[in-house]
Amino acid sequence: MVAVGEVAGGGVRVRNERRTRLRNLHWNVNEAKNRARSALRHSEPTSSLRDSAVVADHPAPLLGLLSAGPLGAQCYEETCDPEGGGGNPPPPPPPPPPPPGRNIVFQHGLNGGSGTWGRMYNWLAPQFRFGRVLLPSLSPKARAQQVSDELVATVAGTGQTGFLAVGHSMGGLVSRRAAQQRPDLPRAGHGRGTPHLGAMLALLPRRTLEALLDQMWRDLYYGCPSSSADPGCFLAAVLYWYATAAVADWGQEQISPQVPAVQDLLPVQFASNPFLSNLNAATESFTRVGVQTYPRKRWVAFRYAGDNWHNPEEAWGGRKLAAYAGYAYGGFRFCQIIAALVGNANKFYWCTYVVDAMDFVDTSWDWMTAPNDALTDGIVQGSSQVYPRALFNYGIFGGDSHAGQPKSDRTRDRIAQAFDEWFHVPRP
Amino acid sequence: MVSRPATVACLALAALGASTCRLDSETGTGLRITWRVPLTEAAAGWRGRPGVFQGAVIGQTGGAVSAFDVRTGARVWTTTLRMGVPLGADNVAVAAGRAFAAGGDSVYALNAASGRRLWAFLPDAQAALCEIAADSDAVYVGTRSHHVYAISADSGHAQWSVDVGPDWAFFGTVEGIATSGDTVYVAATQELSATGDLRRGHIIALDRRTGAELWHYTSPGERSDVNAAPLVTGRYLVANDLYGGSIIALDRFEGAEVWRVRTQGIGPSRAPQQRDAVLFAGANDNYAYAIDLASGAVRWTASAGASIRAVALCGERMVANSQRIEVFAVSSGEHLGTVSTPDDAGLFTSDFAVVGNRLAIFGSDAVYGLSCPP
Repeated sequence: MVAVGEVAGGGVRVRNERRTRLRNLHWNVNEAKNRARSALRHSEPTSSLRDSAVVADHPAPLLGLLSAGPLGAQCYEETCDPEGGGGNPPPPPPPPPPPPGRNIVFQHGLNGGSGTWGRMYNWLAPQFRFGRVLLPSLSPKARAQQVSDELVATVAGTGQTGFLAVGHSMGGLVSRRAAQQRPDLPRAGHGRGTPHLGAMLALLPRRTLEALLDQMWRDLYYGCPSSSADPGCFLAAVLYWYATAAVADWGQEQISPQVPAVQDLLPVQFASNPFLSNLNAATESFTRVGVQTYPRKRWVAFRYAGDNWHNPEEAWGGRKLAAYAGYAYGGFRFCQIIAALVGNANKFYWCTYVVDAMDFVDTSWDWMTAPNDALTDGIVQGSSQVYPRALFNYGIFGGDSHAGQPKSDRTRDRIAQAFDEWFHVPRP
Repeated sequence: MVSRPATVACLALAALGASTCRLDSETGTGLRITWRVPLTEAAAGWRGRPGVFQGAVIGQTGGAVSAFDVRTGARVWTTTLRMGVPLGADNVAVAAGRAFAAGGDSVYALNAASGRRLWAFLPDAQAALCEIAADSDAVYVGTRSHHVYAISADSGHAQWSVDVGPDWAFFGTVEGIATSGDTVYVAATQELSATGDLRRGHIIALDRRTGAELWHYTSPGERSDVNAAPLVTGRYLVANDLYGGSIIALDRFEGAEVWRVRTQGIGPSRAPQQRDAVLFAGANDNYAYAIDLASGAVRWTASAGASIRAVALCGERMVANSQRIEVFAVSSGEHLGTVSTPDDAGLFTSDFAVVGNRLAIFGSDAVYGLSCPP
C-alpha cells in the first residue's frame, strides 16, 4: 500500500492506492477518495473529485472532454493511473455507437447472378463495417436500362439511401446508370472489368465466333487419337472442354443477337450504341472509381477458360492454366529444335504444327477481343476498361482475367484500397 | 523469381506446420527473399504500415498484433487485441518502447519488446483510418469525427482533444498525423458534398502540448485531399495529394506551400520517403518519382506498370509495392525487375518495414523478409 498526498493547483491530488492483482486483472483502490465520496452522499457531482492538477494542466478542450465523462482509459499496468481510482471503479461509460455501416450493393454482369460476388463479399465482410448488403440477381440478359431500373427498384425497396455500388463487367454500366438516375440511392460507384466503351467481342456474329472456336480446337486437336496422347492433345482437349464451353457460354448465350443486352455492349467506336453514348455523356456527381485489370496477354484465352470454371489460384484456375499452356508451348518448341538437330522430320513437323496451332489460338483470341489494343482482360479490351471521368482508376497489371476478377485476391486488394481511400468505409 | 524447388520445399514445410520457412532465393533484382512466415487467411492481407522496434517488424495479423524478427522471421510475440474481427489498424506507431495501433474500436498500447498490452483508449469515433503518430510523451490519433487526440503514452489518458473541422457540413476524417518537436501535424480530408465527389485536403499544425492551432493549410480547389501522414524533414512538410494528383511541400513553420509536383495521374497513397536531399514517391498513376527536396524538381520518373501503394529505400534500391515488388535503382530510376511471391501465388499488401539492408512486408498469405544488396 502506498500513500501519497500532494497539493497542486489548489486541489488535493490524492494517491492513496492499493492495487489488487488477480492474475493479469487489477484495479486501483483509492481509500481517501472513497471516504470523500461517502461524505458527499451524492450532494456533489463526482467530477469535482477528479485530480484538479490534471485538469488545471490542460486547456479548454480537455475540460470539455472531462465534463463529458471519463475518457475510456483502461489500465493494465502499474504506471497507469486512471482518474478517480475509487474502491470499486465506476462502471465504464457506454462506448460511443459504432459508425454506421456503409450500405453496399454488389451488381453482377451479363448472364451473372448474386453468386458472382459471393467470394468477394465473404472476403470483404470481415474487413469492413457494412450496413445493408445487397447481392441482387437481376434479369441476366435484359437490356442495361431495364436492369438498371430493376437495380433502382431493388435499392429503393430497402428504404435506405447512400449505397456504394460495386459492379463487375456490365454490372458496372448498370450501376452507373442507376446512380445517374437516382444519385441519392447509390452515392458511389466502383466499376471493374467494365466495358465503358463497349466490348470488341460483341461485334462478332455468333456463327463467326462459333466457327473460330471450332477451328481453334480442331487445329490444336488435329491428329490426336486421344486427349492423353501427348501434351498438345491434352491442351487441345482442355481448350475444348474449358475454353470452348466457357466461350460458348458467352458466344451462344451472350454474344448472340437473341440476347438483348448485347446491343448495349457494342463498341462505340464501331457501332451505334445509344446506351453507352448517353451513359458516358451524362453528368455524374457521385464518387467514381474504376479498376482495370490487365493480365499477361499471352495465353489469356487459357486464363479466361480456367477462371471461368475455377477460382484463379486453384489448380485448374486461370493462373495455372495459362502457366501450363506456357510450359507446353516451351516443350513443343524444344521438341522442334531437338527434332531438327537429330533430323527427325516427322517429329519436327508434328511439334511445329502444335506450336503453330497454339499461336493460332492465342492470336485469334487477341484478334477477337482486343485487336490493336496492347491490353485486355481476356474479354474487354484495355482502353474500354478505363472509366471515363472517374475520380480514380486503379491498374492491376498481371492480374486475373475477366471471369476471374470478382473472385481474385488481387481485385480484393484494390477494392479494399478504394474502400479506404475513396469511400472511407468504416472498419468493423 | 523464387526458384521452384525452394518454393515447393517451403510450402511443404509450411504444410507440415513449420511457422517460418527460409527461402534465401535470389530474385534477379539484387533482392533476396530470406524468409516467409505463412499466415492464416484471417490473419493475412494487412494493408497498413508496420512499425519497427529493436530489429523486429510489428504489424497486424488479423485481430492481433505480432512482431517478427526482421532477419530470421522468428515470431517474437503475438498479442490478440480483438476476437473474431481484424484489428483494422492503418499503421503501428512505435516510440519509447511502446507500440500503438488504432483499431476499429479502440486505440491500443503495447509493450514493444514483449507485446504486453498496456492500455486501451476509446475515442469518440473510429480512428482506424488514421495513420497515427507517437513520441515518448503521447500517441496522436485522429477520428472519423475529425477529432485529434493526444493520449498519454504512460497512462492512456487523453491529454487534449480538438476538432479540426467543427464547421464541416459533410463527412470528414483525419487521415494521418506526424509529430516533430513541439508540433503535431494533422492531415485531414473534408468532403464538400454528400456524395463525396468534391473534397479538400487540410494540414493543420497543432501545439503538441495543448492542441492549440498554430496554422492551417487548405489545399486549393475542390478536387484534392491529403490522405496520409505527412513527412517532416528540415523546414519542410511533405504530403501526398491523392485526388489532386500531387506531392506538395509546405513550409512547416508557416504553412505556406513551397512547391507542388504534379504526378501523371492520381497521386500517391502515402507521403514520400527521404534520403539526403531527395524524396522518393510512388503514385497510383503507375509511376515512381525522385524529387529534389529543396526545389521540387523531378530527378527521374520510372514506370512500375501498376498502381503503387508504398515505397521504401533499401541500400541502393528503391522498392515499390504494386502487389508485386518493383525494384528501381535509387540513383537513376532504372527498373531492375520485379519480385513476386513464390509461384506468384499471393500478393504483397502492406507498406514496407526497413531495418538496415533488410525489408519486411505483409502479404495476402504470409509475412515476407527480404535482404537488399548493400
